[in-house]
Amino acid sequence: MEQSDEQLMLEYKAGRKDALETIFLRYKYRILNFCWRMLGNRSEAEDVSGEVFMSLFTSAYEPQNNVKFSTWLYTIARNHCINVIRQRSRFVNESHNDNAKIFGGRELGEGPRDNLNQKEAGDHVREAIQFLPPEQMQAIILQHYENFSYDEISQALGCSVDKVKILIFRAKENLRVQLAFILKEGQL
Amino acid sequence: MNDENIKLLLSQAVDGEILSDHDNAAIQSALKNSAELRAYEAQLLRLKQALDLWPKIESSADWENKMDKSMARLGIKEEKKMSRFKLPEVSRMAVLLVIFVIVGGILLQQYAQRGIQGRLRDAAKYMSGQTAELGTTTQYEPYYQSSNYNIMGTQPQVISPSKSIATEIADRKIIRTVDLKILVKNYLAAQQAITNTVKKFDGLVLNSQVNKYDNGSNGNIIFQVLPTNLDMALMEIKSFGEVQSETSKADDVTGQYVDTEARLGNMRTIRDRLSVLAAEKPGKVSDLLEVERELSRVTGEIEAMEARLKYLSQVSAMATVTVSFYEKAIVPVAKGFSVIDSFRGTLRTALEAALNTFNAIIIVIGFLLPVVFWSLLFWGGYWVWKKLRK
Repeated sequence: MEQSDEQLMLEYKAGRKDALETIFLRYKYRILNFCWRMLGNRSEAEDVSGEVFMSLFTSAYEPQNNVKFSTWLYTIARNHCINVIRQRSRFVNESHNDNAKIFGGRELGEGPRDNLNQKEAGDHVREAIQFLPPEQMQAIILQHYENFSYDEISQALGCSVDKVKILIFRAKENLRVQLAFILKEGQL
Repeated sequence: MNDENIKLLLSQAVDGEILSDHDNAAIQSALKNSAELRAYEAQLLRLKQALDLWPKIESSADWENKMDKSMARLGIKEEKKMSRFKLPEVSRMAVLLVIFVIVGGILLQQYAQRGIQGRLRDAAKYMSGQTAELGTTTQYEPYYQSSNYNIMGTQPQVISPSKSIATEIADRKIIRTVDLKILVKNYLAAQQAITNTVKKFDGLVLNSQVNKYDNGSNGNIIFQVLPTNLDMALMEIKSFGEVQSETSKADDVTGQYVDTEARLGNMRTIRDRLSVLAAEKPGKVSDLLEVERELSRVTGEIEAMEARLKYLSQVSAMATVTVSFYEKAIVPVAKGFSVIDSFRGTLRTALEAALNTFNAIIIVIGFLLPVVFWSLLFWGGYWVWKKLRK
């Protein structure tokens, strides 16, 4: 039977160093892709995910009662990503207060309408998610791409479950507008 | 419950969150009564599908290596036995290309150098009169002109002619010339011996010359001898020294001789007729003058043809031989060991080596320039592609 992350971490604490390698193999793609979705840049994603695992290898993780290891690890990844995002000037200079009317140089809800191929559609989805306010973006990424429950998301984001519900709902509302041309009947 | 709350609940339901019975009932009721909410739910489901269009990424080899090294450094994992000089694919290809070009260039240069050296060696042998080893013969002549040259390295077969053919050959007019070069011990003794041989075989010395030098005196004799005695005379002359080269030539002038002979017969007939005409004295003086003029011309041509036939008969009756003989030049004996000379020699060799190295560097740079250009181009393209991909 496969050992849980928490058990592996306990074994690592007990001196079984290779337990951490098992953890790494379990999470390397997930963390890398989480960072990729948060940052939208492969090079930055690789750098940040490397830092996340270095934090894992060097930090003293203590299994806690209500916080799963995965939630803890994603919280670290999220914090690293936020640091990178904060360093980006556009996040300093641009405001997301009104969900900015301009999306990738065009009006929201507009764009290349017909004959979208899968790659182009994927790029639009990436841009739309990247354009969400940070908390909404984190919530929707954790919920959709990392299969976190609302409860786990609340732990990772350090907020209430009700707030997570609202964040995800708002994120979907924004995405519905931004990706309206993809969501039309027959486009998918 | 207003539409906003229903949409919030619908969002959670689409995400697979567990709702209370009360909330589920409210959603079912609202969906039943509102087409707008049903459309909203369908759009949420399509959004879920749309979000899956953003694909995952795979980790790069560089990142994996980096993580492996980090874990190895922390003692979490054993380090892979990998090459210290592991390079990206493009760099590896560029390195292989460079090695290929360098090795190819070196091989090509060596091949060209060997060809040039071979030609220089042949030329040096030719200039110094040294013999080349071609089969079993000791006579130097370009291998492609040699009658002894045979690609299988065997001696050419001697074909014995039949009697009738031999007679026919004897009747033919052939001008034979032989050039012989021999190395002798004493040039004056050689001159005397060759002259005696010519006399012995009823030959005629046409020209005889000797040149005395402090180092390597020489001389030459041109003589004619009957073709039947030619081989014997040559054999004897060759025994006076070491043969360095021998060239035999035979020009068949039978055709010319027969042709001239036939034309001579015709001319003689014309001359006889003209003589008869002149004796009969035609009526007009002008006609007589014309006949005599023509007779004079024909007679002149007959004399020229007779002279030509005589010449051909004479030259084909005798073979002409040119014998060049010379004493071996004495090579100055090397002086005793000299430190200064030795140092000079070493210095010269070092200088030549430096020049050769410099030349080689220039050649290598020349070879590499296009490779470097293409490598940079590929590398630039790869870099741009990598950046664009990000």
